[in-house]
Amino acid sequence: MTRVAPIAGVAITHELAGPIQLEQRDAVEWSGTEATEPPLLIRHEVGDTRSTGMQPVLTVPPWCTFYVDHAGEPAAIFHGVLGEVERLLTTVIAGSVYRVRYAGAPREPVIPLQSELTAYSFGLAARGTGLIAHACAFVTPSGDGVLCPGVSGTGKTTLARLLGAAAPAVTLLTDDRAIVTLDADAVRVWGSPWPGAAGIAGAASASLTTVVFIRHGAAFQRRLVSAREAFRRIVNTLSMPLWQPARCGQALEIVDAIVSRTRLIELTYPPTEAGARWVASEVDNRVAAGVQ
Amino acid sequence: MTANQGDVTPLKWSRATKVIARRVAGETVLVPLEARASDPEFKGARLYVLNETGEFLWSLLERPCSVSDLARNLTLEFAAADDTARADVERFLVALREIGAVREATGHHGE
Repeated sequence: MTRVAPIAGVAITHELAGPIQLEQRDAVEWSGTEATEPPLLIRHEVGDTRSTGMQPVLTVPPWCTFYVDHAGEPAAIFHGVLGEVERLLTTVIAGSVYRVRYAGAPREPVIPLQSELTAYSFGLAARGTGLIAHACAFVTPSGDGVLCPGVSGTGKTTLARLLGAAAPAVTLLTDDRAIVTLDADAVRVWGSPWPGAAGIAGAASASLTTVVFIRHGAAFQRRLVSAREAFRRIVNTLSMPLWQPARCGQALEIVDAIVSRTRLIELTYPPTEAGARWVASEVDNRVAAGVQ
Repeated sequence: MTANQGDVTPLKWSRATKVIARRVAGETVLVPLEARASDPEFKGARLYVLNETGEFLWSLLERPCSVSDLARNLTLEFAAADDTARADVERFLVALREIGAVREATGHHGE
């Protein structure tokens, strides 16, 4: 049994059967948030990984294929690339319990990143409470949450590293995967234990007040972004549950809340410490002190 | 995309069951869920945002409609010429059929 401290309020327990062990050496330092939501259980076992009776819905070559099972619940096969054993992730109880089956006994302790992240994403969608965003995120000294969404290569990790070096007053949440939740009152952004190359895994959260679309350029430029443009730019960075209409509908409502309730800007800046300080100043004037 | 008149005009059309529509940022967004399984190139979200006339036609498709029904309403709402409205409707239906967002209405829907 391995426990992961709560992620956006949701604690994860990995229940291990037989010879399966989880890799601990490279585990991210994750202190966790307060546990405010029901926990998530992921059972790991050796068994049949065939997708019999399931319908494929999305292929992400070469890594995995997503399915829906006979009950309309999501599943995923993580293909045996890079010497890993093929694994089948299925839904046992939507939003609460997921199972990872390994095609054979892994010869080494397994890194649970893929299965944990995917099960968490399935669970979040089943609960209808939030989405995982491919984004850099941080909190300003004023306590405002800032989300910088973008596909790979946009500059999320670079920005996070530069902010860490040049704007110590901001609290970094993540350089790669943020969690955005919606309740009746507010949209909230959280860090996660699934960082990018910068390794930033901040177990904090804040009310999401600003979404920044980042661009690298020689000049410093700030542009307001319309909700319509923001929707088009952000949606492909979010873990949309395309396997179920109702859940996709809930996800779109969260996206609508993000683009309707937050300040939306595009910032173009050089990828330097001065650029990062300028980004920080643009989202929180208190940080501007000392900026050249 | 070219409208195929023979494909769409004799029928009545309605929204497919496996499509969701939501208002996001003031626009109607469609997420068809049926077409993706047969698309080997599918790698991410396929969301379709309707323009103003698309939103109007989509609202009408809550009930089965023929091309003529839709074109007549489009003409009345947007003061479009009859032939232009009909061509627009046909293009719209062909496009929505391709993404799995509309289907032929069955007889008990009033055809």
